[in-house]
Amino acid sequence: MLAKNCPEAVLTYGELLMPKKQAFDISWKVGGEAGQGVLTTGFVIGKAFSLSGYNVFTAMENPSLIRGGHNTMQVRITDLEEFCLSPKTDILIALNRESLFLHADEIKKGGFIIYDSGKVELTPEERNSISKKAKIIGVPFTQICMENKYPAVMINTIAAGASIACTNLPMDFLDFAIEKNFQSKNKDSAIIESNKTAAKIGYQHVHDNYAEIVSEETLDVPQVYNDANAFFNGSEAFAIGALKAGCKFVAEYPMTPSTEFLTFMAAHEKDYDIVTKQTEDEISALGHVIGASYAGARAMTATSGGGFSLMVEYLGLAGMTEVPCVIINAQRPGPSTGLPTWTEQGDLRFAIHASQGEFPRIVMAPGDLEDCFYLAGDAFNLADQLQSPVIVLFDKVLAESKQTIAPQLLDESKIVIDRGKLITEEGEKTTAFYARYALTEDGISPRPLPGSNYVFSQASDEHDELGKFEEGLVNRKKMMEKRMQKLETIAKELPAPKYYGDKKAKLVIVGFGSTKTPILETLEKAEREGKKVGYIQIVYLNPFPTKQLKKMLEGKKLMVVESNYTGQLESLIRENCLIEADANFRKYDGRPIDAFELSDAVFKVLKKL
Amino acid sequence: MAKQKGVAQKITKETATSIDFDTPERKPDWCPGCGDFGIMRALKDALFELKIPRQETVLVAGIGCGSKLPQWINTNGFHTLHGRAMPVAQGIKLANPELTVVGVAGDGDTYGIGVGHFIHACRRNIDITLIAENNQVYGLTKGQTSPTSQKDYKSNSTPFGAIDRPINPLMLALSSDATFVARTFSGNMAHAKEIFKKAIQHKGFALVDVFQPCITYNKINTYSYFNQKTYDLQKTGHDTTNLEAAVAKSLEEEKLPIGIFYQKEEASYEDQLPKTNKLPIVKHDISKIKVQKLIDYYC
Repeated sequence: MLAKNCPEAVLTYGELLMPKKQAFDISWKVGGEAGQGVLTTGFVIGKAFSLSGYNVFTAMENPSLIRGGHNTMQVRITDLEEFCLSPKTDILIALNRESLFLHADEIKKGGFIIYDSGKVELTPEERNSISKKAKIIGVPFTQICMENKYPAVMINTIAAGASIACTNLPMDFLDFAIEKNFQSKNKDSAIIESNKTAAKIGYQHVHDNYAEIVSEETLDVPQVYNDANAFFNGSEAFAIGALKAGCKFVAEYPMTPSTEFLTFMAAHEKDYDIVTKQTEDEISALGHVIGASYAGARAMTATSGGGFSLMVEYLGLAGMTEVPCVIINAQRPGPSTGLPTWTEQGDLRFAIHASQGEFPRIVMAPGDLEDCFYLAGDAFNLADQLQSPVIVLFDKVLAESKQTIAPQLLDESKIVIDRGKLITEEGEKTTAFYARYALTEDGISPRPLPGSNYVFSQASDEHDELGKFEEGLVNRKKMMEKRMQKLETIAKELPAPKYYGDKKAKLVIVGFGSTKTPILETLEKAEREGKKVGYIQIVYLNPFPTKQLKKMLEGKKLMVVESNYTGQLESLIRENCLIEADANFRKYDGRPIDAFELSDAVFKVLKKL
Repeated sequence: MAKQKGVAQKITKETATSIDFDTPERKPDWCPGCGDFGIMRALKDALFELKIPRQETVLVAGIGCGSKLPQWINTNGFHTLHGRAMPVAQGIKLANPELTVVGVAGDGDTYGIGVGHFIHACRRNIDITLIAENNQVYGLTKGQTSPTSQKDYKSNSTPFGAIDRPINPLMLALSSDATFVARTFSGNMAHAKEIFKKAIQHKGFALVDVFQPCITYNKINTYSYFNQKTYDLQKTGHDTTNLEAAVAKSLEEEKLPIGIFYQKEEASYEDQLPKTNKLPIVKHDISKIKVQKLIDYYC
């Protein structure tokens, strides 16, 4: 494989040899019980592709339990830069009987099902029916484990190796990925070696027993000529950006799908010199964050909808006392406990309006890994500048799905620190209180830190410029206007929504958050079919980009795509821009939107225009 | 750059040693005779005698009559939410352990809505002091029963008498492994001052439960009630290192001991943080952090 940074002479020669970039779309799916290593297998396959420079998107499905149940992980590779999951699969690795039957209908023509022939009995009728859908490859995983004295969990590695044999990929394709996976879990070299061997045993079994398939009918995986990609999820990308932005304090209460922010940050307490705290509940988490931020540390918390509900009162405290804080809400389907391990975008309005009364806040939503990394820097800067909460909306897909990104796209030098009107000097000693809430033209007061010579009061009651309780009507008006002015001031600094696709497109899709990848993939499909569709990604939902969006939608037909029932983004557009959507696509079954169902819907709308 | 407002009085070398924690331009709006006046005076004197600079002190309050106290002490004050002073106080201390952090909240705040945070603050042992202004009633909302009101206490929310048995704050603190548990009485300001001083000096979480009369609403737990019933624990030769003795004292009801019930020396939470840089995180330079190695790890 040619590296991107080859010397020029070789590259020129190589360019002549390099095949044209070809379109491909290949998916693995691993299915099994929790505890069988479904996610590990999927990770190893995805990592192997990422290391070889492929663009990978993975999607997990897991019920809310620790053992048993039905889990899947899809690993999809395509030639596109940005894409999401696929409703179809090329190779199904069924680690248990249930998975075989649950997903047989998803297999594309010419696809494979790999199953444990030693443990799962198929009746002639079952075998017959399934062979019509896919090529059945039986490998006696459990038996092989026993023969080689491997622990039962290693059936997943044997199965992964067997799946490689169904393609044109080399036998050692999984080696590095296996090493990386087990190194990160601090396993010793003996375990790494036995896993590598197990994968090859699975591979060899297919070669020995399915010779015709191996010679004639393997899945052709095209070669790519890229350096290794970075392979991680939105939680990790945001956390890394946050560390770069100087986040020094994380307090959190575990809640799916936000827990990984906490575990990632906790793992880096020492090497990044930060304080992390798992608190007794979500209320305490945001309280700790507000305290740490007041004292001068850049502080954040993460949670999901239920935890965010608990944080609502403290949210108002931060708004009223003008303390910066960054809060991630990694959304999942509600209401109430809902579907803990599934996905939705149902908290948009909630994030914008939560807490009693009115105060300024920013609500932002990253759409992919690149967004997560850079928006982390923006979140902390905006929180410091606005001196108020910044709420970052994630969802399960963005938080948990490992995907690839070219590492050079993550340029840490682009994350700069701007702490707004933070007072860094010591000041002179006096007996006076400092006017923490001094009235200014832009609404933002200079912010001192406790410990300096500026002694100041902060109060959750309405207060005057000195932070003293004050109920008078003149003061109240001034303070409301001051706080709300801050948002107007900051709104001017926010970038406009980004437009993707053909500028001449008549139909424009508007979305927020992780719908970015299915929408971009849909745009790609449209282009390949000669159809014109545009996409506007709304990153900042509060303050809403009314003026800019109105201009961008002039003369266009609007289709709003979101994963909720009531069309919350659609209603925001109607309310702010006075624009009625011409069409919408709303998914609320807990599953992520994929580009196949979306493009079907979009093309139908195009036809009608 | 920053403009200073308010009644400014420059501190010179001559006046530096007599910094007063009073706020002459702000007058408390408590009812005349309220126990909070005694608590405030004792706290001001304690801070002054300990020579803790007012710039390095933060008072964190909840909501209620007593929680207004930071407004009338000339030091940093953060007035938060009902029952929610402890998480904020702990966050402040973890971010900057060089600050002296004192929580001030009433009995409803601390032992009712905030009792969860209270228990975890005890076991966490972050070096902060909590002064619980315990007047056994909800004053600011006009007289309802509180978690520490006696059984059968009559109020506008329990006109037929409170059915709940009261919380025992000291025993709750002891069973939550608090490393400093004390009680005092707002009517005995000299005693309160000494207890506050010892609590603030204690390395770790320190609870001072303060009996205080609410002269407007609580007609049972009055000044004369406390004058008759309270006695100085330290004058009885009580062993503050003995947990069982402390528990026994906390259960006394005929007479109400005041003083230090229990104290033990243990490393504070923040002293055990897995940090390499010893400076408080608020003093770290965040302009040169490098994360390339983290990105590379995922390649």
